[in-house]
Amino acid sequence: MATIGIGPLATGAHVLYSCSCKELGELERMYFCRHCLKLRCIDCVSNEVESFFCPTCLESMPSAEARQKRNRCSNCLECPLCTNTLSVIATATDEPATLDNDKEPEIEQKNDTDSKENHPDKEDSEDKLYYLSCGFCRWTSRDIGLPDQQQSSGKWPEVEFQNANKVNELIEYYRGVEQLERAEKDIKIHKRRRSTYMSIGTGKISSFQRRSMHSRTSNASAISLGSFQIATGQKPKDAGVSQSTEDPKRTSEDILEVGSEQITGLMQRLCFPSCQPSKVKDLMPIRKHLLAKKSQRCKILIGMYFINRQYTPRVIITQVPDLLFNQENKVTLTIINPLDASVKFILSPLTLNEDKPVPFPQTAEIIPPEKELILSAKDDSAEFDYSETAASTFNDDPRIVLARRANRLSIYCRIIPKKAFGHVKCSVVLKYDGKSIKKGDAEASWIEHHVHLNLGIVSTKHKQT
Amino acid sequence: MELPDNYYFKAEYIETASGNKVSRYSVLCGSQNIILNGKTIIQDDCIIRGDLASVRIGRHCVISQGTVIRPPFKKFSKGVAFFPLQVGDHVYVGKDTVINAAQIGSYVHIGNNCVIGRRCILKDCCSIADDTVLPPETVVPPFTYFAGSPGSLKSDLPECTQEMMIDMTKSYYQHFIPIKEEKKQKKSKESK
Repeated sequence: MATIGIGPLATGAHVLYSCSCKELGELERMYFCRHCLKLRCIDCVSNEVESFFCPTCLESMPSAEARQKRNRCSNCLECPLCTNTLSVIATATDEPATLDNDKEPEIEQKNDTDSKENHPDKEDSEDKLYYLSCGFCRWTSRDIGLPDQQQSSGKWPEVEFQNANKVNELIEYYRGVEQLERAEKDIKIHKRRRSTYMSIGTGKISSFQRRSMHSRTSNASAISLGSFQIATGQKPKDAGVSQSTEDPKRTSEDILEVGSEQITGLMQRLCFPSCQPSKVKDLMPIRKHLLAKKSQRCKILIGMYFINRQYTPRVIITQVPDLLFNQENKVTLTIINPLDASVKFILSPLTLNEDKPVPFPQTAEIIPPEKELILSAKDDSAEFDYSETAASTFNDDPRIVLARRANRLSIYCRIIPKKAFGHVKCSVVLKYDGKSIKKGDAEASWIEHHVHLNLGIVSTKHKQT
Repeated sequence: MELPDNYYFKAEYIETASGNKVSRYSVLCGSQNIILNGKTIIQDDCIIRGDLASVRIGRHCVISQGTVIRPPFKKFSKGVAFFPLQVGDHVYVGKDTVINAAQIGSYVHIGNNCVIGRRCILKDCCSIADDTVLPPETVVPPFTYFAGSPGSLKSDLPECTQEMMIDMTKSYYQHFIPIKEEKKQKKSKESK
């Protein structure tokens, strides 16, 4: 998972939050529903594709068109060797070196002579010709003998799939088999229904029952007739037995003859799942895959968007001293309020049932301040306010609170590591009032989140003393 | 985890009225073509080639040690033309990175030892991993994480990337603290 920051910190200290499904994740990767008041991970929300777009030309495409084009961009192409985006390069056929590009002249001249050898008839035309080139591995469309195109957005040939007809035949055959099986199943169901109906019947049959009975029997006969037709006349055409080639064409001698640099790698082959070319000269430019723009919605209250990090107070580890085994250590945590209303909160140690496996096994005891504390509201102008007046109004206890600045509050927590080696891990319950999130709901006044802290490795100093 | 304090000698940096901090050991060629919009930090041994074309860097950016920023060029029939380079706000660039991009959006994170090839376009809210090589003319879409050589899409970024980058660059600036020489020696002794 990608993280933003100046590299992983040497101590490996980090903070994780619990999802409602008990999975752990960074707060940045969590979603918060304003209505259920719960944190959810990416697996617990319903992801909806909003639109598709090409990662190179950034053009968006409606989903119907994307499906038709097999989720690939019609303009952008990838290098089959290194999967870098190919650039279209123009060559003027009447001049020796290409002018409208930025490649080294030696390579260009070489390529140009190649093209003239390959296509001597094109020398007469005054139009510009275009070919594809990879800026990373220097592969060009001329390497595989693709003729240059007259237009810059030329229609580049696509990979021909030799077994396309055979696969289509097989698909048709299995579709027929599926129909046959479904028809047979339907007949069985109808037969069973008819027999139960008759056994229940008391002799007095109402007109409605009679009518429905008639329709069912006629239905069943129709299906049986249909299945009979399928079974006798319209039996799915046999696709024929696939013939195996007796001796595979590829041998180790083949590879020796060609040279290993001419043989494609696994990833290069898998870019063409339909034909999987084994030789580099058979590789063709790949159409760029589209990306999907997604939106997350709550699974329970469909139609509600999630907004993370704007509702949940964020816990940051600010200062960690050398953590001594079985001793009290003073760790500083900072809690940041993202809401534009002041929030009361309280931290308490998390106690879990020991019988069940815990996703975050605790190796230390945490003693957070017992008092309820107040976080001031988020205020964008606070950044430019350097006065200390705001801090003095709260009358903070200096034994608990280290500093208060705008919507940030730094507090002391006592940590007692219970393991002599490894990471110091402890969990707390962060309880805060969510009145400003869900107004007028008395039950939703307190919101609870489980926060897991990894404070780094236990200090080895105690062993020396 | 909160960023640790980062101390520098006051004499080694020039601080402008808008809060830019530029190291005296960096090389800014053609400084009349370089615009720093404020609170941007340019650290030791950086090279910015303003003599080739104009370079515009937004607010709250961090350019780390040994990074080279050079406007991209394009060859034409009558020679070479350089294009201006634009960098958005809240951009972090790691150590020893070479940037030849045409455009870098806002809230972008570029790691250490990267090469950003000629005329690359980095959209807003994207991230480039350490030791990535982006080939020329690569487009990095928003909310994506690129890594490898050649750089390719590895994963996506969370929706709050913008806030994360604002937080990070602002706290980097806040923790970039000037001290006198004697004090720094003391601090380094303490940390040892």
